[in-house]
Amino acid sequence: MRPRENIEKIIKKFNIDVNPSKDQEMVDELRKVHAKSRQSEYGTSKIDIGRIIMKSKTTKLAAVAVIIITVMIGINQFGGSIDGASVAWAEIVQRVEQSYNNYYAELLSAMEEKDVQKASSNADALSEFWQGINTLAEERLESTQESLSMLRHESFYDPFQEFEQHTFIEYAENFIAWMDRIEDDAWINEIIHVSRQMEEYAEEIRESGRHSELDFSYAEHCLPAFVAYCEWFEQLPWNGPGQVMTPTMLLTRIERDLEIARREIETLETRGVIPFIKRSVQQAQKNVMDVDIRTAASRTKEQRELCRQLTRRIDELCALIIYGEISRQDFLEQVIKQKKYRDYERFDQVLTEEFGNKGTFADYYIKRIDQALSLCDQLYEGFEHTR
Amino acid sequence: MLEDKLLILRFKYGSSEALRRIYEKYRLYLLKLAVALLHDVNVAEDVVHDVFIRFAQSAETLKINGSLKAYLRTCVVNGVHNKVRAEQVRSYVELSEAGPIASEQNEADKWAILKEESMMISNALVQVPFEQREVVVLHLHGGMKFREIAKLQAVSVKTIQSRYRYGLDKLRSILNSEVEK
Repeated sequence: MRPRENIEKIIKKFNIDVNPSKDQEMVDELRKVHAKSRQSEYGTSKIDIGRIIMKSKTTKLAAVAVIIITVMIGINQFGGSIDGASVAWAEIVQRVEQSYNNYYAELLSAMEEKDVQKASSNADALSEFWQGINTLAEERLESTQESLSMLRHESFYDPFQEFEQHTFIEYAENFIAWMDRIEDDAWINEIIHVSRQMEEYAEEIRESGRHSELDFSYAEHCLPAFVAYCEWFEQLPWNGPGQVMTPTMLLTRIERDLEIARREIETLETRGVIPFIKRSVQQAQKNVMDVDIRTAASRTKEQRELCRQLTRRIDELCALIIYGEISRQDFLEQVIKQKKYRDYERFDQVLTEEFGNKGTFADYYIKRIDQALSLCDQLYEGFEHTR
Repeated sequence: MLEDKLLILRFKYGSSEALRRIYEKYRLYLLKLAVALLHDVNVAEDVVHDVFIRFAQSAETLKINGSLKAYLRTCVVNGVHNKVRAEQVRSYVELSEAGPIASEQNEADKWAILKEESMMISNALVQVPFEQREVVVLHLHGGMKFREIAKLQAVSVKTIQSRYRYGLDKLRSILNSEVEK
């Protein structure tokens, strides 16, 4: 009898080839189908992606933002980082921020006007923008070379004929130079965390805007947290990269994330927001661990105790969130299905009534967050103020 | 994978070249999965063909949260399940019935081509019950972890591990008896 590993090796040998002429037929068929689907969508006699994309200011800016981000990713893989001149750097920051700010401003005005279509459209573009930032930061951490051959072999810019290739490369190199000068991976992790949150919020706003007035209230719920993260992004050290993240800076981030979680919980009645709270609190937990590592050698006895308490508070919050998730999934649905509560009732109150005497669930969370924030304040004293 | 993200982006913005790259990158992988799962090459070709056609039509609405590879793989697996449910292929055959599926097409019309060794393996796979075959194929050729397959088949990881073990045991006895012939 052959051992299991031999059988696995044999099964792995299963392989096929393709008939080249049939393969080509397939490619041709796919091109036709693709072209037809684009044609029927836009009613044009030929595919003119450049014109289609540039038909509105909004999509044009989306294209700019997406191109910049994706080119940056590609150029990074060329290893093309250089010490960019400050003028070129300012231009790229301006260009990226211009696209981002335009969408952001339009989104805020759409929210004020209760224009669901406009909010959804701008949130869509912002979602893609943040996805690009997220990808860039993750690639920076992973340092993969996967886009290299693709970008070298093919022209990426064909659909976007208004933008000249060499101009983008020059701008992108300076942006990548900034990313390369960041020595502290904690910054990159922060960018990843923020960009993921922003992408999720933008998605939620976009989806809300597609449905109805009622759902639009959820978009309003997302907005304060969205704005808080935008403010953080705008304060990135664009002009002074390479800073090491100090304990004080980490505490600032812990505060930010806990505040975000707090705002989420305060509006818990709008919709279940556990994933957002969880992400914020887990990021705070990560930053607490970083504080622990960075300050271990120099901490006083009192600071060690405060760090321990802060760690415990954050861990407790994480446990509460998991508790809430499990409860929500396993129990809450059953409870609601049994028609003990109506769908629109706050699920935190449902959980409280089912799980005992802890006050309202949201208040319980908030109390713990306030305790954690108070510990952060105490920890500031004694660390260097390098904010 | 960054390349895939860029390909999807370009595809969504209308690049047929990106579509061609996606097709070239994944067609062998998907055909192999489909043929290994279904044994019937014609039906497997239909499944993969349909997946790519629908993909080509989906530029405007496409939204992939995970990887492109996993997305396409899921499409093929769903197509396979539909064929099995519709009884267009038999989910399992006995030894006496296992053999190369006679193709009504001539050689020039075939898309997927199997060599003799692969035919032998395919003949062995088709004698394994479908649930076990699916676990073996998705794990060894699809690159899926047991917990991912468990989610797909809506059973526990332990069940998947058992199915994998039983599937391999069955294959071992089939292939051993082939050697002894």
